[in-house]
Order: sequence, then C-alpha cells, then structure tokens
Amino acid sequence: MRPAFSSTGQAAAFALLLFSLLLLPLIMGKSLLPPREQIYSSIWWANGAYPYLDQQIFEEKGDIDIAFIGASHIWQGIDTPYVQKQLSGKLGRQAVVRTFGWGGSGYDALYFIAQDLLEHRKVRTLVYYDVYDEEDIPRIPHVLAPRWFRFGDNAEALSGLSGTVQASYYFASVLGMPRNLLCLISPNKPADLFALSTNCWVIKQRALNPAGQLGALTEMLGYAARLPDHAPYMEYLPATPAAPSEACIYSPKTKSQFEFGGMQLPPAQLHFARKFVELAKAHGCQLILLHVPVLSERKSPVIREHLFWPDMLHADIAMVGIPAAKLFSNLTENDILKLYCDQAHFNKNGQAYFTTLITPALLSLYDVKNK
Amino acid sequence: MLKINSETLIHVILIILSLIILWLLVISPPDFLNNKIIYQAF
Repeated sequence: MRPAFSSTGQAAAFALLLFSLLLLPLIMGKSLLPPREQIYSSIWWANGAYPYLDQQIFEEKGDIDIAFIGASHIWQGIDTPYVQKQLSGKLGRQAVVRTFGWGGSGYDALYFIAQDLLEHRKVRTLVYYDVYDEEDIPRIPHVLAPRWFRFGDNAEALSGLSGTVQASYYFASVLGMPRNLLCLISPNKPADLFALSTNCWVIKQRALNPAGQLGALTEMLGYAARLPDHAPYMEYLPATPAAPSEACIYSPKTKSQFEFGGMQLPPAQLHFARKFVELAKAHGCQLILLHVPVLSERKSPVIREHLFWPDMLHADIAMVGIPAAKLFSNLTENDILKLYCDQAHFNKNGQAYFTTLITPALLSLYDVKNK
Repeated sequence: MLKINSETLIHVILIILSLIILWLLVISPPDFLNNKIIYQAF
C-alpha cells in the first residue's frame, strides 16, 4: 500500500491545513465575518421560515406588537393574521403581529434567533412556548447551530456551559466557516418570498405560504399516525366548541388548572432559557409562555408545564393555555384528529380553532402590560 | 537529550489533530453534517 503522504513536507502541509481549519473561527474573529443577515438568507424554507425571518429581522422596519417565536409547535399553533386583526381592532390602529418559527426544538435556537430579532426590531410582547420537547428530545447544539452560531459573534453566550458543550458549539462554528467565507465573497441574493415553485411547504405539505400568513405555517394535511402518510384533509370546525373563557392565565385563582412537572431541564437547555429571558428583559419585552397542546395531552384536565417558569427563571413570565380536556370537550376521537396533522402539530383546522380560543387571553395580557 | 525525528513529530501531530476532530464529531449531533429538517423529512 502506498503511504498517505509522499513526503514529510506534504504531511506537514496537511497538518497545517487541518490546524488552520480548526482555528478558522478564531482567525476570522468578528471583523472578517459577513453580516448576520447572510445566515438567514442561506437557510431555505425546509428548515423553517428563515427566508421570512430574514426579511422580517433585517429588512422590515418598525415595532412589533406581538411576536410569536419558537419551534414548530408555535409556528403551526397560531393563526397570526387572525391575532393581528383582533389586536388591530382592540388598539384602533394597524397592529403588527408576526410569527418567527423554525424546525427543531431547543432553547439555544430560541435564544440566538431572538437575539438577532431584538437587535434589529423593537418587540413589545414575546410569546413563546417550552421548546424542550420530550417527544423529540432536542440535541445540544441544535442541528442548525453551524448556521447561526458564529464564534466571533456569539462566544460570550457559552460562558458557564461545560467544556464539552462549548467544544461542540465551537465545532459548529468550524463547520459553518466555509459558508461564511462564501457569503463574504459572494453575498446571497434576496429571496422572492412569494416564489411558490421553490417553497417546499406549499408544494409538498399543502401549506399556505408562510410569508402570506405573517410567518405562520398553516398546513392543510389530515392526521398522520405515521409520517408521511397523512389522511385526506377536510375543513372542520367543532360544532360545539370550547369557550374562550376556558383559557387560563396563571394566577393564584387558576393555579389548580396548571400542573408543574418539577423536572430538571438539562443544564445547557436551562442555560439558554435563562439567557433568552435575560435578553427579553434587557429589551423591555413582555414575556408570555403559551402552552400549545400536543395530541398526547388531549385528555389532560390540566395544563402541564415542565417547570414553574417564573420562579425557575426569576422573571415575570405570564403563563397561559387551555386545559386540553376542555379544549377538546364534546369532540370525538376522530374529531380531535381532524385538528392535527401529526402527533404534535395543529393543521389549519386546529390552528384556527386554538387561536380563536386563546387570542382573548393573549390580548388581555398584552393590554395589561402595554398601557 | 531526546531527539525527535521530524517525520515522527508530524505524524504525532496528525494523529492528535485527527483525534481532536474525531472527538468533536462524537460529541456533536450526528445531523450537523446532514442538515435535514428535524421533525419532518421531505
């Protein structure tokens, strides 16, 4: 067998190449990185509403009244145009409500994307949900960390994490360096948000274009017990729906409607949850934790949260939700399935139903804090 | 005094770098190099 290197010099050059690649995030620092806008314009629809996030964070100006932010449960959970319409009516002016959603759970994604958002736009109210998803245990780092984690920009966020986790984020930034270098040489062109021929959600998932839904993902798919075998979609609205008064905002009077699991979040997840809350506080954002029910909770008489978030994160966080048993009361099992496209995500029916019931509670919380 | 042959030194450095890269691959999510959507594959 021939040796791997024909000379010591060749081996030394290869070692130098490997060493340089590993040190590239340190060498590039912050000054040699392309603008962060290039991160979002490099990620296509399949991983989340990143083209829309790009336009909303870096191009559109003006304050945002309510921003729904988080992974797929909230991305598909809220009919954003409906909330905007209701809030506009309440305020007597055109409100600005947006959803910033993506695929893949984990608090690191929530923190870093919120950081970019809040650096460019003033947001009055941030509505998020507990992105630690037991049914899809989030990995640390998030699989898209090589895209949005750049050592030169974000290294200070790692302070306090274990050495192994920090090394993993550093490796993410190593993997992201070639794309950053390419964006430096050849910046991305602005995306056409309404080019449906390249929007996989519209083509394959029968969704309305998220750009036309103020960021929300509205899929017209029937329930799939096993992806991707969806049942045919049928428009459905419960004949005997729950009432908006069933929505609960946590208070001493309503605490019996909530149950807190008392579980420990993995340290890295808790680290970024804390940073997210600190970030929101630093930018003067009201925080609302919204419980978006998954299918497995459908018989639950209480709203189950992993933690009592205000205490755990030492912050004024309003918690709101609807006990699933009340949300789905008077509905047969088949009727409940008509509201979901899979175990964890509302389809268009469920999104519309849930939004009409939760919106009054959200608007009352907005009103209290923004007078 | 121990004399280290330059060829041996380069090989040791290469082995160390390879082990570092292997360790980084092991501790990181396997999807880092895959880039597929998390909850729903197309």
